Amino acid sequence: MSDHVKSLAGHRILVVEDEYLIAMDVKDWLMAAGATVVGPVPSVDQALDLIANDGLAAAILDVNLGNGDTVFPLAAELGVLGVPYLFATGDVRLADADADGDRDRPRLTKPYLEAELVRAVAELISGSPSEP
Amino acid sequence: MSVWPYGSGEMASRIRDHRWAATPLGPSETWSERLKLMVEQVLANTLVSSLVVGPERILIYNDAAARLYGDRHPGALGSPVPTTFPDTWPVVASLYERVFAGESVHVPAQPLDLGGGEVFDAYLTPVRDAVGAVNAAHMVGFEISDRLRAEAALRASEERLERALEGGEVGAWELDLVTLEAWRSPQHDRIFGHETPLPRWTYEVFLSHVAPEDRGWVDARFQDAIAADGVWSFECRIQRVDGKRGWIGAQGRIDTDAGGHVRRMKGTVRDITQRKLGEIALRESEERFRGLIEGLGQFSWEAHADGTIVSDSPGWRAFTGQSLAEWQGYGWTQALHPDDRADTEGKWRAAVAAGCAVDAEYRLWHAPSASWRWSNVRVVPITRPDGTIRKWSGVNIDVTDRRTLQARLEILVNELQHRARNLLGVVAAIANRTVKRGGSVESFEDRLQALSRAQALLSQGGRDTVEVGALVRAELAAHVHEVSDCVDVKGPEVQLTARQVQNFALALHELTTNAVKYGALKGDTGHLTVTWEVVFDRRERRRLALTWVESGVAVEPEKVTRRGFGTELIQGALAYALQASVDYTLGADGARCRIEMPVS
Repeated sequence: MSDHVKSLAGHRILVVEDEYLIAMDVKDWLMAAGATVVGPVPSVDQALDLIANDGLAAAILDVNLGNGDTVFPLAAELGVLGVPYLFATGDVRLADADADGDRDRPRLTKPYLEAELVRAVAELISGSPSEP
Repeated sequence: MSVWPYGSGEMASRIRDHRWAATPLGPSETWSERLKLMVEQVLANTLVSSLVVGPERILIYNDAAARLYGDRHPGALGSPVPTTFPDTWPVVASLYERVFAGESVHVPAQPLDLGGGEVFDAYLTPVRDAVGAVNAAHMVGFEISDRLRAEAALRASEERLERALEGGEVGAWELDLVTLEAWRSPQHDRIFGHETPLPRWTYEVFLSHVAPEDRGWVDARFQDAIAADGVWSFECRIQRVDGKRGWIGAQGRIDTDAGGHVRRMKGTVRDITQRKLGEIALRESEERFRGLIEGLGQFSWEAHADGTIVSDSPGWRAFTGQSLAEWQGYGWTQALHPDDRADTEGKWRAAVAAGCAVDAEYRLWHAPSASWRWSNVRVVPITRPDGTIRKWSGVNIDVTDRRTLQARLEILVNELQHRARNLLGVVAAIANRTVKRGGSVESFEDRLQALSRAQALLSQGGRDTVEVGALVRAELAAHVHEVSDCVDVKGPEVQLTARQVQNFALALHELTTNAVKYGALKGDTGHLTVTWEVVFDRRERRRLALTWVESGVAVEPEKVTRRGFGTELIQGALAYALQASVDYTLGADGARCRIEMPVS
């Protein structure tokens, strides 16, 4: 959807998502918007290896990562590093949010559209709502 | 004044002094020696004894008779018997006739009309004069009303015993300790299951009816009782002739005869099966009940109007392990989880101040299992007629299980939600790709159906896992309409998680579709073998190794060289989501694919 005119150009975005097809879609959408995708990876462990590098502009985090694991330990790390993130979730409510801060994070409920996702990430990076 | 008869007794004296001349017998000096001898015999007898003399039946009697006759004495002396005993005489008159005719007669159990219920047992013999004519009847006898009463009492007692034995299912027995043979009452053998009594019964016969597990100690007690001359008393299990098991209670007591020789043991035996079964059932029921109540963690307690605990609650103390001193006042808060203490105490104090009922849930220490358990409490005020609070009454119910269940349910609902939404995302992604790469609607629908089959298998088992074989066979069955010899499926039972199932199903679908379109499932010549096994990696972790081998295929290279969405699903998705290693090759004979991935 090149209407966005590469709204995410030059940014490195971390994608944590355990469902392959969705992960591939998100990667495609972010790349189409000009971003460099870090990952995608399906687990917290693999993600931790990647965020050691500097320069993450934002992260898209799938909440439930299979086998009962959640993404919150990683979210805590990102919080420490000062990287803004949003939750992509199949849950309507975030019942297991560990830290109070997580409750206020922006979130996208699945299934989401390309345009929704790109806009949400752009807002994350700029820190304020952008023009639709 | 006569000097005869000699002797110092009352009757001797009276006879001496009596004016016999006024009687038909005449003065005693004129009496024959034979008569006088008989009188002396009568006087000397300690039993009741008398002479009835002559046709007038004049009565001469001794001291014992005097006591018996009561107030008829002393008038009876020297008087005719019919005059003294007008009511009795008609009954015995004919008996005396027989005696005077020369017969010895026994007059059994003759009631005497003397006012005391006396019963007399008499022996009458004829007394002859010098020429052999009977001129008197000699009587010796006993007052037997006591004996009769005793006999009657004994008979009644025996009847009662018999009735008791019959009705109470009690059998009586007597065992000869030398021969070990036993007499039993009719009821006895029935207790052991014999409708008709056995011809003989011995100690061995008894022991053979005792249940094998009890025989040893029953016999030991028997031997002890004999050795100690003691009592043999016990309850044991028996096995009746019809195989039915029961319980008996028996006791016996050693009976030594006067000489101390022949010893018998006498006793009773009762069928106590019903009582025993009842006791056992009651005990089990009580234990179940106690377990239930204790398991429920339900108990009640009371507090003073001011909110302090004063009176005891054994239920609270049994649950928490607190002593009475520890839980009184506000000591009960110590049995609560530290995180719940402040809140709960605050709630309680507020309720007491406001005088209204209160509900709360908190973690309470369960001493028996040394763990925290969730307890729901409801406390209500008990008011006086004037509306003031008399006391508080509280009931606690253990809700740990309920909460655990609720929590699990929440997780489950969440999981389902999450999965459903993910699924929608996946379907959208598939649709997208199929369209983008020029695939047909049909192939999109096919992929959806594969997804659907996988979901169906997941929800079928109720276990949230699917077995590999079931998945493989389900996918093949959807495409291969006849059971054919061209397909072999073989492998052990391996469970895949929900997450693994979806991606695996999609990969299988691609492999199968390719085989149908270009490979082993297309013509008649092809053959497909799907096998799998469990292997272990270097770190002893389990892995599934599945091999898909097509053979007998005429490969058309140009149709399958391009890397399609299908291949991406087979190789990409499995590797990404399941950390699988996929080795897919197209040999000269057909496609081969080896998938290895971790399984639990």
